[in-house]
Amino acid sequence: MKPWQPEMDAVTTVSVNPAPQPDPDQALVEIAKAGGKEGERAFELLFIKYRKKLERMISRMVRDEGAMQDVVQESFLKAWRALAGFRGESQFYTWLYRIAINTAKKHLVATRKNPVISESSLSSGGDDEENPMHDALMNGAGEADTPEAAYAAQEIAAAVNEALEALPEELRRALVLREMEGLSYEDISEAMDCPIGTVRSRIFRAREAISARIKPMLERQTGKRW
Amino acid sequence: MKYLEFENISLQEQLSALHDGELTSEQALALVRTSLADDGIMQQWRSMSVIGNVMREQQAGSLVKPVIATQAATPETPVAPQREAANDGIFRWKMVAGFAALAAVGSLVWGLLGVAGDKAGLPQAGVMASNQTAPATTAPAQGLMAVGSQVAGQEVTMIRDPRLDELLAAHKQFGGVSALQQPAGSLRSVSLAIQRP
Repeated sequence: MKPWQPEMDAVTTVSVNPAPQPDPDQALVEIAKAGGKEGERAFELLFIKYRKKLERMISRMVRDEGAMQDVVQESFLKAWRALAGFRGESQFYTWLYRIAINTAKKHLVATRKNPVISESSLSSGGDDEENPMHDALMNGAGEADTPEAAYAAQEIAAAVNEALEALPEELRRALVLREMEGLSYEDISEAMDCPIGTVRSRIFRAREAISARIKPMLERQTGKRW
Repeated sequence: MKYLEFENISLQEQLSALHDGELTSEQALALVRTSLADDGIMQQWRSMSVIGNVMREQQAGSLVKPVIATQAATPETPVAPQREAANDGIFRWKMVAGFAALAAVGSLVWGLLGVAGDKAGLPQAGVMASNQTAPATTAPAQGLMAVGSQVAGQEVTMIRDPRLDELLAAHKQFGGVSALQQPAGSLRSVSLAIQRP
């Protein structure tokens, strides 16, 4: 099926604010830094949010699927351990991105030095298994990208596109401005000339409608590619 | 960032706002605490992440393809002729004046160089010119003759090496034929004839 395409005028009529955007993950990072069960859950939310994005980025450097998964896992573990030192001078994802890049580079160097070494042994430190976050991250992640998972991913993408096309114009536009353009609710409210509460509601309703369409697929698919 | 009031908002809507970073730390903490006891929240969060990932993944292709298609569909339009600038007429006259001035300077320099070249001309040129029976033009011929007569003493010295004369005298070959297919005597007499006056 033809992927949904955003209307050009809906995108181009909005001037993107060149000023640095506030970190959208600041609240979750603060909770994660505080530790405890809430901290672990907050970091888990960040992991779910950024895992796929990081995988896509790392896969450009590390071609091997398993190795790429290992690098992503290790990057999140490093981020979890170093989170106390994160001063919030950059966005959380920027910081995580740098960690992942460095981890991937180290992995590539180590692989060139000793190509016999197993990929998983590179990422698993001695005390990782004792780390509760290790279990949390390994749970539901690191599966091989099987043909079934790839098919499921395609199916989900098609469903998202279909659902997006079926949305009312104002809901679709609000979600596009948020997800694709990365605008804040305040900027979207200016662009769409409506209150912030309406923006929040439109984005939520758009997500809810799409979620309803993909929920059965997400429950069915085991690869968890997304 | 303007944070929102969440008193009458559903948990799911709050989660959507948390995903977009539109909650305060306190609001987020309350939501995270709730999520500890509600797996549905995690599932919804996962679903929201999937939607964002799918949309962003297709963004590059969907935004670039229409641009490429538009460019491909647009027929090649001929380049419109440039409008004449307001100062084109003046510029044209300036060009003509410039070329005229350049030509005048060039001809002047050419003339000066010609005179200087004549004055510092090679001695051989003077000798050759003196041998001409009918000069092509009057002015250059007069110049050559004059040069030739002025530097006649030196010319003879340059053409005829005295040692060569001695050599020829020693071998009695004054009447022989030179490499110029002319009698050596003739050459010698011409040289001496120039030298004498």
